[in-house]
Amino acid sequence: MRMVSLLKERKFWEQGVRNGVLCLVFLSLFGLIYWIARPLSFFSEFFGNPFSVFLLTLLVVVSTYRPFDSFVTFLLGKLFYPSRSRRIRNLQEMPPVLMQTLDLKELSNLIVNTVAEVMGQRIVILALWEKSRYSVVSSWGLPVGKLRKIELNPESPLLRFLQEHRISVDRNELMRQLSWPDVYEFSKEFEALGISFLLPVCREGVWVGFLGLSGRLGESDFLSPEEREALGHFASMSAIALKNAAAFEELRQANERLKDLQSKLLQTAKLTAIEQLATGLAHEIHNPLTIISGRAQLLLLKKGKNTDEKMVEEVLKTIVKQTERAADITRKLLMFSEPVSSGRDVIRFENIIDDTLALISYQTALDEITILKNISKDLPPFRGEVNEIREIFLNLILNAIQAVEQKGTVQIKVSYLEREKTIEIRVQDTGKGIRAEHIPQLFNPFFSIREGGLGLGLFITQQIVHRYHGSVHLESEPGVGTLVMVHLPASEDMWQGQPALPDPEQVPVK
Amino acid sequence: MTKMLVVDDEIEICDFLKTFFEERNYKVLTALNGETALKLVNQERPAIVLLDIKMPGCDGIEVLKKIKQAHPLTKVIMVTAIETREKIEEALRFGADNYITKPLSLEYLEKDVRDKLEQMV
Repeated sequence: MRMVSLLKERKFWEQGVRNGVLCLVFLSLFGLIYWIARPLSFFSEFFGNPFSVFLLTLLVVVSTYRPFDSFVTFLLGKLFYPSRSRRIRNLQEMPPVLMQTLDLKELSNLIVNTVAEVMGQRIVILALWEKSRYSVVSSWGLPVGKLRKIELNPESPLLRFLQEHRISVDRNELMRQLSWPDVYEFSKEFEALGISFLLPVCREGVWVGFLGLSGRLGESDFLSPEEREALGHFASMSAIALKNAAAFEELRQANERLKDLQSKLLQTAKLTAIEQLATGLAHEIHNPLTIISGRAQLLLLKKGKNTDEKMVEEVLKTIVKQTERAADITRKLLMFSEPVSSGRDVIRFENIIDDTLALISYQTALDEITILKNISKDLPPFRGEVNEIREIFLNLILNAIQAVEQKGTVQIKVSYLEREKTIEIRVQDTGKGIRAEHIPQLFNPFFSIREGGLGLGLFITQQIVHRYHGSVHLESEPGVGTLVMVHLPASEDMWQGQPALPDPEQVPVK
Repeated sequence: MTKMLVVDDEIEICDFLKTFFEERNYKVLTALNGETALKLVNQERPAIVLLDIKMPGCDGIEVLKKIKQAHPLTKVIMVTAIETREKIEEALRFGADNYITKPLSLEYLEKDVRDKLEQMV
């Protein structure tokens, strides 16, 4: 059944020995049966006749040929190719290593290199089936230029045959089984691929691709049944590993896309909060501008008529006052768009809360809302990024004010918990409260109980607080109000290696 | 003498608009919030209202809706700082006769007021 290559000496001898052994066994079998049958000739004329004994022996030989042949081949394989059984063992040891490799490129190379080295192949290619086409993902023994030239047509009869039957295909074996036009077709394809053995890489009905082997260096091309079985097993393990790696790769990419999206969203959310405030602020700036411009226009219209000094002075005073007012607003807006400073500033909670409230007041009317501030006088110096701490307060106070809607109280308290060495921020409102079933979801991004709410305020707050190794808690009762507590560890050792900076001079804010 | 109502939560703005239009022979009333504005519209029946949009409590759009419901013939000019396109479209949909952005050009405002009053006649 298998190709005999007279050029390959060892193969020739192996076949010779095998045939010799088989002949010898056949003859001894004949002798044995004849010897056993002789005494039986008393019973029957049949056993006395050498011809009928020959027929009987033939029957026995034909029925036991295959297993016996495999056995002899196996024994001879051990004798002629002692490395073969070692190879099979090597192949069997590989799957755990395959399973641990999650990088698709690395895994493909590992599979190809293993097959090439263990089986002593000149050329090995691994082609994967993706999006209804094959692509060669790894190869051994092919020059780079040639690899690029390999184009696998998914419609090719050979590859379709492989995908349909999912059995390993040996070129020479196949040639003998097929009719002429197919032989020609397939032979051309094998030639184009430069390989002589195709091994399907699939598992449980999932078609992953195939391995193509060229043939061995030096010794016989032919693969023993054991080697084929081991290769088949290796290929199906490879299929699982490749599927895993592909899934892992997909997950990794999806995760990366998600992370990217999240950071973009957070940026957008931050912008949105500032944009909202900016709209309010810009609106507020236009009022002093309107007053300045209006007053000046009035005066210009009076030019040449009786303009008394007192009136001019009054207009100029108004202009100076309104200019200051506008400048104050822009100054506050700028504070929120300050670039993140690299160092950690000493946080002045009082200032931050006042600034935040001032900003919010441009956007939302606070007339009916009582704001109670209670900031402890003995807070330890707390270092942090001013913008981040400001954002915490902005989010919490905005939430509280929006919960109160029109009339109510918002209490802001900052104190130091001596025992826990922690700064506690409490923002409590007498608003409409939150239903118990919503509380667990409040810190999820894009969850909002407010109509039109972006649902990022508490999420961002929590992200910032976690950066300070702190925690956020929320308690709420519908109709009574909500309390949000932020705990920020203030222990000095948290900022080890950072020399205590003197309080930076702050720009006086009116 | 044409009666005019100026509605703005900024007293300074009300003041100079009052000065400006009084010098041009208008009888000018002022209101610092929506509620007062509505009361004055019902009592004094001004021919034209200059209405700010962003005000605490009852905002300009609400006031506009109520004025146009009760007195469809009263001309209303929205005086806005920075408003979104939606806000302006909303105002026009509810019957605002025009909108003018702050800071104001007094001459342009006066011309617009005159145009709107001429439409009435």
